[in-house]
Amino acid sequence: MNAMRWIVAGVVLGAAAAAAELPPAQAVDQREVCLQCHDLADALAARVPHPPAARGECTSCHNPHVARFEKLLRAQPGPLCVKCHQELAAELARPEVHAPVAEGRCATCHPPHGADHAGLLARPAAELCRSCHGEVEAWQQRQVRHEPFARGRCAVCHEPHASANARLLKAEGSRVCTGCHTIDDAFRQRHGGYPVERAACQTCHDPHASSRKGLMRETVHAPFAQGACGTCHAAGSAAEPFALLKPQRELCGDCHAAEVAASLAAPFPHVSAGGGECTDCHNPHAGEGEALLQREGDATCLACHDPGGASSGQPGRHVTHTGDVACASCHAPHGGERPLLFARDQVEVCGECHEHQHGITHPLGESTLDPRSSNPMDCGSCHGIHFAPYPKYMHASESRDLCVGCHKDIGRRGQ
Amino acid sequence: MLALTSRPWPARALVAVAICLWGVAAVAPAQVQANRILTSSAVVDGTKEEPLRWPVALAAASDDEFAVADAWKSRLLVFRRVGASWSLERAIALPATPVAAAHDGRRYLVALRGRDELAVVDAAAGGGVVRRALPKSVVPGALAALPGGALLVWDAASGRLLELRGDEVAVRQTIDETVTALASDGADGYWVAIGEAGEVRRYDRVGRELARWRVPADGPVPAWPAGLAAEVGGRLFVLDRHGHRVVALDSDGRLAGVGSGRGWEPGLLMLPKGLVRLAGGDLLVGDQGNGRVQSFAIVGGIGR
Repeated sequence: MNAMRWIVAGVVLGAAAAAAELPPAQAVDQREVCLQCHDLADALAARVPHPPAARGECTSCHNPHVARFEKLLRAQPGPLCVKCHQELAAELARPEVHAPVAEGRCATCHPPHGADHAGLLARPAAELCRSCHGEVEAWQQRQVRHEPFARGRCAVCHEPHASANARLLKAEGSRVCTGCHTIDDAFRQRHGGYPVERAACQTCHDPHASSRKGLMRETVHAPFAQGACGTCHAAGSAAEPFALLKPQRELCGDCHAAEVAASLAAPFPHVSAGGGECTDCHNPHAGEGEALLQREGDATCLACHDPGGASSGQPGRHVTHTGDVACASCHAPHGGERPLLFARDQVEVCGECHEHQHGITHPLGESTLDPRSSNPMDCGSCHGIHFAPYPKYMHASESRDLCVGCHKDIGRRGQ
Repeated sequence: MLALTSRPWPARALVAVAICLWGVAAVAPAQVQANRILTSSAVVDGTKEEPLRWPVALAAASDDEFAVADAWKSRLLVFRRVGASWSLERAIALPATPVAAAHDGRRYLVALRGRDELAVVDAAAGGGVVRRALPKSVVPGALAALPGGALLVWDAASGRLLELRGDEVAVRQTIDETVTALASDGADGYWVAIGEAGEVRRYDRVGRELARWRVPADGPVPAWPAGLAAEVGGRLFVLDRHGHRVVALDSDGRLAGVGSGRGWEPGLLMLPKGLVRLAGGDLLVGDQGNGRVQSFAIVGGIGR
């Protein structure tokens, strides 16, 4: 039925277009006419020209009279490019698409008339990547740098447009590494005899840079550093060499007894810690920060709580609280005594920083029930720290709507 | 079209616009939207002396009685229907913080945090609490009662789904991901919710997977199923904690409707947890963020 509708649409719109078509223009030298007003001399003199621009075929992309899209483009940027660069259509079907590509912002990397760098790139590839990926600068300060990274050859490991693999990697897991690094006896010996090529190398090695030899991640778990693999795993020669000797919570609990016990007994468990699945968040070999996290800082939390959020372009979800506030500033990652894993009473948590506001704010607590839910008022009654659309993280406009939501008589006064 | 070319330009433009408008009207697809399938029928709250604050699980004994496990002060609050509303009948102290609840046809069973045991509460016989031991080292999570009096218990420590029948304990299957809710399918099988995958899965008696459905996201927010209630051979109701709503899937896993949304007012939910369907058809939802239980009547099916 839908296909039929589109066929009808095509016929009708085609008829309309034909009916409206202006008489054909006389053939003109577009380059000469357009450049009378549009100064594109530098772009057209660039080392790598875009063929339609170089040939003076301005109307390949632009409608000289009227268009629905900015810069008088004939179609939305992105789809317009794919009309000629059809190989991109297949790439766009891959599960991981680079955000500028998904959003049709091709010109972020490729100036459409001409550029000085291969691939019609505006700047050298590494510089381009760094212009969005700020973390690159920190990596560049580190002592040990992976050779492709040091040479700015991001595309050795990453696909610039889209990939079937997470992080736009060219291959999955360790296969992106074994393309260059040979797996031989020496390699195995360095890894305690374990067939680590079956695992993802990036879990222990930082593929960009590190201050540690062998590009090891910044914080190394003591048993791992000592090469005591057998503390947790079967022998490297075993049929299942990575098998754990006992459940995670027992293995981790041998040293971190208090944390594991608190996690298992927490009235409000963190879903991953609730069963002692420590490695959901922590890397038992080498990780980030003192806590050996799988990812840096809040990225560990957002990997589950906002998957793809950072690149979804959707505003308003998990807006981060301003200032140096991390998820763990308010929430207890191993579980806690309160819903939403609040580390302490919510008013207390907020009041630790908002001391002044705490003193003068709306009455809160057991003595002041929210008339909408009959629950005690707390900061969250008016403020939504993660996704509030109004200033001061308010749920509604504080000029009227926020107050009238509870104080319904206010709106009727004076009538 | 040829005739048009002989007309003056403004006339041609008008005809073109008219054709366009007709075409758009002919082509515009009928607006398909998920039905709003729930209407709020009651807000259930505790009393001043025994307020309901942090509901974590619900279980129903009949169409006229249900219990809510409240993690605030670790209690099981038993409510009884009085006309169109619900009244707190009894508050029963639990030996530890509850995490899940079920009713096996005779008694309420409550999983407790940090305990390898269940609290067994016979509300009809005065509400005394008896402890039912689980195998050592089990960390009980979600629960579901199966027809015939068996009980499914998710062991979060080992990833095993245990079946308790009388004094016997059998392992139904192992699931590597974290199970956030369980429900009987009304026959021999059961439904499992996997929060972080935003999925629900149906298994038969021997643990063979019969269906695996992705719960539709609420815009950019992936669904986080935190409660399940199944109609025999019909719809599956999924409580989407992060979407603050109930999602209904038809017997083929297609979206059949949604109900409620985020908010504080009666009829709206805030990070809900715990869903149960009464024999009479109403849905009860543990509205954790608002510290209450809400009752909803189901009003619709698949619609345009």
